[in-house]
Amino acid sequence: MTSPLWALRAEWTKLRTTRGTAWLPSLAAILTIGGGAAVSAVAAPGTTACASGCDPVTLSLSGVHLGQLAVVVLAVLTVTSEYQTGLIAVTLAATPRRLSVYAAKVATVTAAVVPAAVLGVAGALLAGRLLLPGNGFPMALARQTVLRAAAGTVLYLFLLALLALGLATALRHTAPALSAVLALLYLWPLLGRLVAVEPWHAWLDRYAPANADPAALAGYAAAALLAGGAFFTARDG
Amino acid sequence: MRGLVLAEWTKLRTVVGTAGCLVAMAGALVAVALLISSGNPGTYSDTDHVDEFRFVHRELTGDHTIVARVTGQESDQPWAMAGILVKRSLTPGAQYAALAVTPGHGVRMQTGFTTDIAGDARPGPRYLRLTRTGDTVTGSESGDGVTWDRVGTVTLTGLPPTVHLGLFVTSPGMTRVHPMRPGLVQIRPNTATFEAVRVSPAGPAGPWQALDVGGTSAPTTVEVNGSVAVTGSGDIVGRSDDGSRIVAATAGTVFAALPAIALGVLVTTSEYRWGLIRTTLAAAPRRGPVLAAKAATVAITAFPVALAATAAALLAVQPLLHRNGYRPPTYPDPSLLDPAVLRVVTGTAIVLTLLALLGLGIGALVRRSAGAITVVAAAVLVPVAATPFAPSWLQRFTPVAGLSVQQVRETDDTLLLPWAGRPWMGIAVLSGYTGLALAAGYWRQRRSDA
Repeated sequence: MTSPLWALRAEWTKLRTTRGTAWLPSLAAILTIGGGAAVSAVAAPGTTACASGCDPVTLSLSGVHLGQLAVVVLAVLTVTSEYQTGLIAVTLAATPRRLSVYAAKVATVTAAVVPAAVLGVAGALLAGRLLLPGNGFPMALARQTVLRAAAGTVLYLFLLALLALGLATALRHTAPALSAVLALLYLWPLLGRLVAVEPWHAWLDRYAPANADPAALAGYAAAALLAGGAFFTARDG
Repeated sequence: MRGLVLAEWTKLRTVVGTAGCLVAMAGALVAVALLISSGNPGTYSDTDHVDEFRFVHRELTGDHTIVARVTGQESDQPWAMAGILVKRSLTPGAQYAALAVTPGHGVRMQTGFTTDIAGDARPGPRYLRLTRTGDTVTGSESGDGVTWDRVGTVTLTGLPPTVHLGLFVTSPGMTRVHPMRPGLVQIRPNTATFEAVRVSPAGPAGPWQALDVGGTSAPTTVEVNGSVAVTGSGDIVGRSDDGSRIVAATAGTVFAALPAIALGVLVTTSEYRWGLIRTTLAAAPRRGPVLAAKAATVAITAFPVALAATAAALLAVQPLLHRNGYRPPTYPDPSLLDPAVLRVVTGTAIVLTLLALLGLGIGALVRRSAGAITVVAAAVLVPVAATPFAPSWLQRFTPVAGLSVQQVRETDDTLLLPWAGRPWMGIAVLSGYTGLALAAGYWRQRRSDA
């Protein structure tokens, strides 16, 4: 019963059957496609949406800013809902090795988020492809550019999920974990705009999780996962 | 009812999460205000004027006349400008005379950063003409390019023979409304189209060059014949009190919104989490009074804390701002008794209280922290994050509209906050959302068992 595979299977069953988490991957995909389609439908060269130069791929993928909310909630709830109901005591009684449980959670969230992200990104790009030419955008895009943006977005959502999972494991409660991730995503960039003094301004801008390059985001995710793992193994329950 | 409020107060006071939210809310208000005010002057410089614009110009010696027809400009900001300009040098602050079409204030002739002469206010394309004769510059306008009306004549004492003459474009969002309102101000460049650009006498002249006066980019050579489009931002204006000393003190509101929302949400959802709600409802079976007591408790805790923190932030940052150049006569010392200041301070506390109550209503409706916090926080933070790209109704009709109460001067048409000129409209929008959320929460409490 204690093999990692069993732990994985248990996590998958919990994710699939818990009221909150079951439909969140679909919601992430729907928000990504819907948000992107909405922006693509109204954006035209010269309008507000294009104030800072318009890139059709970026426009199509702008729904990610909504879809990421569902991804974050999914990752947080995977951990905190167990603490909420006390199920964690049963889980740890069945699988006393903490790292097996933790690894199983990471694998489960990955398995839920990555397909949803792929679906959402593909759908959003397709919606943009259908809607944007009607608004006067040239769509002769290099396949490589599009594939790169798509892969980068999927990677972003995946790393964001790991970051949220790690933070949630360290904090154990839904409200603080969720608030912390929301603050990282939405308030950090605002802080960057508030601070005019260099080098702080450039530093805050460059390392904001919402627009950091994949390497920096991977660093955040790794740090959060490590912190979560350390707390999870060191603490009782 | 008193007993109910007392019970709710005890829960709020003793539960670590809710108490932490109050501390975080007050902390965010004060910390962000201090951060922005300490050695962080934004665009402020020691000059008494702003002099930034896009200039397509050529260097000319002697007396000349420049004529151009402004066929249109993209910006709808009342004080955006597209027109013609003569300037002593390309250094910011150098002597100039400008004649421009504005979207909101008709044709204007300006000089010395403070002199502003009104011309025709009729809409539509206008011909503009500047004639330089020695020290004097005369501006004229025309609808057809045949009959000209004089707008004004100004004297630029000691203007050297060689000057820069050309087309210019501004878009004031960046400088009139300084960057202390993160995420609430849209900064968009302005693009104007000029036709029939003519300099006479033609004589020997350098090529047309385009550059951002007050900017850092290198000048480029451009062709000016037929119609030419010029895109730029900035402003040419004397510095005036734009409310910075008050805006800086309330810059933390968006940051304080997150803990305020979490507070409201947790007051309802944490009871469901621990099953305490069953005890609460066994003691007071009527759902309405229980929800009302929760709302009252949140309001009477969040409002005074937010009010005290905002007032404290306002007072604490003044010495810092004063030291960083925000001082009289341009920026008078604010007083808490000034009606506008009073409105901003109490309005900020009202906005945070309404956001907490919005969280409470949604919390009572969905009964789960994750869903409630995400939905309410997204309703506030997503419009803020999307501001640079989103159409303006997104700000006006989402809960973030409440921040309109923070516009310092009610009638200032250059403020780009939602509901400019109508500061209480945003509070009305936010109250609508809060009322709906509380009603929906009440409905759910009545309808389904704990």
